[in-house]
Amino acid sequence: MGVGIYFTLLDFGLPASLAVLQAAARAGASLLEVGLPFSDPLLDGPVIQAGHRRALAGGEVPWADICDAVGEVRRTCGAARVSVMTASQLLYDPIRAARLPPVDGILVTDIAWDRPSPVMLTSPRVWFLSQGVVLAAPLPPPPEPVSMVYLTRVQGITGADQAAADTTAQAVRRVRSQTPVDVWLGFGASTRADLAAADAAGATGVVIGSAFVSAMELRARELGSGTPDAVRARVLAEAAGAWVDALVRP
Amino acid sequence: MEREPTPWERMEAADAYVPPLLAPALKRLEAGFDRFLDDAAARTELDGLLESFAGRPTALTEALHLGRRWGGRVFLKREDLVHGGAHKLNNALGQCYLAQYMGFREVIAETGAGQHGVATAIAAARFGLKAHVYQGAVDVERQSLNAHRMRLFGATLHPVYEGSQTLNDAVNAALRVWVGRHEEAAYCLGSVTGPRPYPRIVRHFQRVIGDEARRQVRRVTGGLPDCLVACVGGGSNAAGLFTAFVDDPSVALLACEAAGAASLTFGSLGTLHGTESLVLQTPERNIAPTHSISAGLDYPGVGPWLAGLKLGGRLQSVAITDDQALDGLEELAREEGVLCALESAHAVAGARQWLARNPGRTCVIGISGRGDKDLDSYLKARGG
Repeated sequence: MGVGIYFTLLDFGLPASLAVLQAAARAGASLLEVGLPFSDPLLDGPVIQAGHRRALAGGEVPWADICDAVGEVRRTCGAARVSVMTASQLLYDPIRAARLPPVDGILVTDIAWDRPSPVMLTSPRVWFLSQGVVLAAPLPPPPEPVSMVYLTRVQGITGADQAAADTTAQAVRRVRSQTPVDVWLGFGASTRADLAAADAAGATGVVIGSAFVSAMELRARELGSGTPDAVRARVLAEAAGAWVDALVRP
Repeated sequence: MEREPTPWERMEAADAYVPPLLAPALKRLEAGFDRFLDDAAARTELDGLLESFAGRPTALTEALHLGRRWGGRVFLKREDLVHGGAHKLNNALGQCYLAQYMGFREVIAETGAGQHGVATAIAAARFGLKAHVYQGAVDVERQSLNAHRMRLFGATLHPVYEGSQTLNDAVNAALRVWVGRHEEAAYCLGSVTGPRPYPRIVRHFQRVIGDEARRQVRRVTGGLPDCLVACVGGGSNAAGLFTAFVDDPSVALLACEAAGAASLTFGSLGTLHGTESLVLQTPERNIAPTHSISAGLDYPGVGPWLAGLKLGGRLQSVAITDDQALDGLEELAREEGVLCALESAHAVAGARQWLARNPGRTCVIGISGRGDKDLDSYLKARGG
């Protein structure tokens, strides 16, 4: 059963966010979902929203630097698959979008699920589906080649405390009947029980966001705001590794 | 035979940026709206409520003193006279009607300064719907009178303590709740923005402003006006006024934006809140911070239909400063005995500029709401 970890690039600073993602991969995360910081993330829960705000608190970071950081995650995170999660607004300009280095997938949170992406994607698309869409009517095949599927586990938003729905297995079956790629469940997963439920539902794994980011936030708060960047990066990396390890260790 | 859609209609109908999480709810809403449009009895019932409950038609008042001062004929389309004090009720009444027509018992809405929240609370009370209004905690504090009004109308007000605790956070919180509850609750959106089908729905419920104005101005002048002037934040009042005239090329359309939030004037194409439109953005493509003395215009995007009109050269826009708007508010009050909202005051200032360049012409100004709510802001800015 795969564990995917979501983290916003530049959250707690560039060195810390890179260190957290690298540590998560070392500890056994098999998918890294890298959020690109954005001023107006829509439909994310409070924890992820706060991550975007922290990432931009020191001012905007040039797109070239963001692209470099994505490339570094790809180069330094070993065997984990890396996907980028972003709002369409950041890729709207094709000249900018073309600079994003190749990764294993790009998930755009606000594009129509049933047609080709209106923004340029430099890597295969992650097909973002809600269970509401999948269960409402017969599911057509993906509108363009996709590298994986991100299926919302319950009909809701990002957040760590949502109950699993018994419709998940049915939704996973429908998706698998249309595409052979990995199916990741997102939204609301955070425990071993969630992993077991996802396994039983036939998913490739779960992507954990809010619960993981909350744990990092708690650790960062213990450190205080005056902590040097390098120290914060090291401490958060340790915390990230331990958190993922506790989840994936048999 | 149906005519080809105009470029602005195509922009309004685009749905390439609809978030998948909202897709099922939006699809259901669009089907319900289309069923309503085909149901003559339902439309007649809503029209009756606009008359008996909202107080329509609203007056078209000739502003004789302003006409003399500015050198032309000036008419005011008086949405300040709608029940609740602003054009917002036209849409809230329509969407709450639609909600109960589709079988919902609850409505969810976001609000910034509180005008749309109040309108939704009023309409929900009228239809026996339970209203849940999400408002940033900072705005709840700043607009405490509107918070009390919403509660008196039976709405549950949910202060949002996330982020900057203002409109954007309220939108986010309300939409998140809706994603999880769209089987039981309708979402009542306040402007011609957001994902399809909201821009079309809101413009439909607001077009009564222009439909009435067209009949009224023809009755008085025997012809069409030379220019329509309206303030634009998201753009519901402007879209409502302009729709009935958009196919008359002799009628100029002038959108008056707050200088610190002028997406038509200074924005560029991008995506915001599920729609592709003109957006105020930073060089790094984040959404730019905005400012206006008028909370209703303080929004970094604009409805796609209006953006399409601007890009197609059918509409002009002008950026009005806080000071110019305050001057407009004072001049209208002093000369005509009408205290308009600070939003509408941007249109007053814009009309004055337009007539200075086009002397002797006739213009209709959309007075989107009344100004009682803005007296504190006015006194703070002008020292009372």
